[in-house]
Amino acid sequence: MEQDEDVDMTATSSPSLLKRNASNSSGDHDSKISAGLDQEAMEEEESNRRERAVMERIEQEASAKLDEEIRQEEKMNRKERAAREQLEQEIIEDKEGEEREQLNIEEKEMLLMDKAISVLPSLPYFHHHIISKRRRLDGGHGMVDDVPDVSLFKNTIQTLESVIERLKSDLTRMEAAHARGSAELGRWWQESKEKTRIELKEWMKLPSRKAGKAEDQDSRPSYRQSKYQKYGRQMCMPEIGFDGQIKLTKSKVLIVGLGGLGCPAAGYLARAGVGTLGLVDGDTVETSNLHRQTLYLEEDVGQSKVLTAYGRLRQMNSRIHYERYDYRLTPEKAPKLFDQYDVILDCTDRQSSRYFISDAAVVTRKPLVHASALGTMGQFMVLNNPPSLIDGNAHQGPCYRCIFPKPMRPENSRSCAEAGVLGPVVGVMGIVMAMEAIKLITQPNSTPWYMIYNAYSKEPFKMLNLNRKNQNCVACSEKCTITRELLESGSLDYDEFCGGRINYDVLEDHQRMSVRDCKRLMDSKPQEHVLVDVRDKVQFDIGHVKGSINLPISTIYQSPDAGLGALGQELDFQPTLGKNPTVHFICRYGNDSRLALRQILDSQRIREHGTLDYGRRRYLMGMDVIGGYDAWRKEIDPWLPDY
Amino acid sequence: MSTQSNEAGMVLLEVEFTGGLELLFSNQRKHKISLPGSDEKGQPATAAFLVRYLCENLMKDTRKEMFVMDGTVRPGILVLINDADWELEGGDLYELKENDNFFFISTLHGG
Repeated sequence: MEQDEDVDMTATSSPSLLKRNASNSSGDHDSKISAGLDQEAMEEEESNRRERAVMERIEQEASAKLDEEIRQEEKMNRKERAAREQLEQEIIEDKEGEEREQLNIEEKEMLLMDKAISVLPSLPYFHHHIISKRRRLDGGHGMVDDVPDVSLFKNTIQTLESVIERLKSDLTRMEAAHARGSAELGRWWQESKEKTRIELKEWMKLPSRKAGKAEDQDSRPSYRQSKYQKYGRQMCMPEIGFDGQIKLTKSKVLIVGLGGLGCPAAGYLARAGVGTLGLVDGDTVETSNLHRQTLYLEEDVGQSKVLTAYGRLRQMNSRIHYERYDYRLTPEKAPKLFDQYDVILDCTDRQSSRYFISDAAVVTRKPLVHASALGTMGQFMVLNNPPSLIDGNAHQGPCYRCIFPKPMRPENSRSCAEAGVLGPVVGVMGIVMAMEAIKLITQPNSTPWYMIYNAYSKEPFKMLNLNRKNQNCVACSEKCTITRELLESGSLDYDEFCGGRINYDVLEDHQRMSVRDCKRLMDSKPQEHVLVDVRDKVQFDIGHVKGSINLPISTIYQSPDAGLGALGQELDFQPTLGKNPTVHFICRYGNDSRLALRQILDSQRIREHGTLDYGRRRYLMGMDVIGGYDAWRKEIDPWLPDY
Repeated sequence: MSTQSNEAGMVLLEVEFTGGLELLFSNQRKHKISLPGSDEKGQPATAAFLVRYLCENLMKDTRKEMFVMDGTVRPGILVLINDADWELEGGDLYELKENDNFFFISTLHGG
């Protein structure tokens, strides 16, 4: 074997020498013509011989030491060797540049490096030799140096060129210093040398020598040991085991949305040691997020969610790779992004994104972990698992469209801002997502399931049998019409598909007034105007405009006429009102109040009489307050709670 | 197979609303109801009849479109009959049985 190596080495490390030898022999031939040239040729040959000797010695040293490594390697039993290869592969992939497990190798290679630098011309060949040998050590293909790696060679030349460019500028600076007799010269010389050393090492992809030396070898566990320590408690679970941990280490998980679901999911997956964690979100942290979005602190308000999350996650586990996508995901971008991952987590908060994420997961054939939460309730599903359309997979799991072929109208869907949400409720769902992602990575055959969580129910967790593979699904069946091309073209309007926005534009302009106008009316003629707040009682109790009356919009929806009756009854108790007061409507942001006033104006009572006659008074229906409670707080009364 | 009803020709059912649907039903999640064992045309009462019945008798809210659309439950609502997806049980056409449990869930999108 050693013999082989030697033959190899001479064959590949000396193309330049062979060429020079060829030109030397032609020089011998020319000697008949000129004896002077003979002398020159002899000198050149002598210097070539010396150079070759130096190179051969260095290469033999390198070869002998690396061969020793190979022999060591082969003594290890099969299993340990497989494990070691896996872990060594990870070390090389680790972009942070980790401490090599065997400092010995590092020391020896460093020594060789320093020598290699002194024989600059043969460096490209030497580099090629070391790299290809290391590839073989790492379980790569082929014999050492059997095929010259042209791209590696080119890369080497380019690196050397850039080093030489810098050396030239260093030289200019040092020449100037030399001419001035500057004392700085010595320092610059050292600096230049150090820079060259660092640049060449960077190019050889060897860890910094200093870092290796500074650590006490005995007190610091090796990279591998620290990994066993970190993941040991989950690795010794039969569900995970060594193989499962390796699968996790190699896995790539994408988290779309870093809100109440995404934060805990990302935290647990980072800690579990997935290989790559992709983070997508275009939002910044708001104070109202803090009660449930566990990666953010008070000081982060106003900062990018993705960048803040990245910082926190790195503190939890610095040894995994993170990809940051600091933007709102669109249907056009989704397929290309999903291609790079193994599992997708949908942690978004809008119906339209739920649909396009499912569609993109189908066209890229990725399992999708889906959850949502609102108020005291959460829902969870694993979709597209096993992924679709692989050889007409009969066991293909349903996609989001199989279960919800038609979107619900926006007025039926409430957001966390409107309905509120409890931190632990959304947290539970996010953690279930992380668990399911781990299962998908380590035991990919787990069956799809659907679960709902009702925090205040006697039976908080409920498993549902939702076997709804739709044979006519537009996204994932054989009859599908949603294709990757269509998705990427951007021609699918998911907002439109989901019914766009709720139409709040139900009043004439003269039926609306600003908070300042409203305040002026109330102050100038308090007997003639009254303000009705249509938020629900819980919100009304948190804070309300002084003197306003609460009539929840749900009461009006239940029956506008009955709502008017309730209103009349309530207002009857107001002693300060005059004979014919006007009723104005306010809500949180100025949307529901418009719908409420519309309902009332359309009620039978108002349509027939034009006014609400109740008790001693006749009430006129007035206006809606633009911007609602929120605008009132901002413009009139900053002491009102900003909940 | 005809609808199983008791002596009085009524079917006793438990219906449960969640995911915000309870707001349409007096903010109460579980309801025990008793409804006729046959529909307007004298046919055995089906799930479709139950949905109509709920809309007309149990739901106080005026916004019927929050629960039904085109004669059946609106998009975004999952229905489970005795914990199984109603699609597997025949959907609208499922014939009611005494003590059936109907579970209506409106899907959520928050996160």
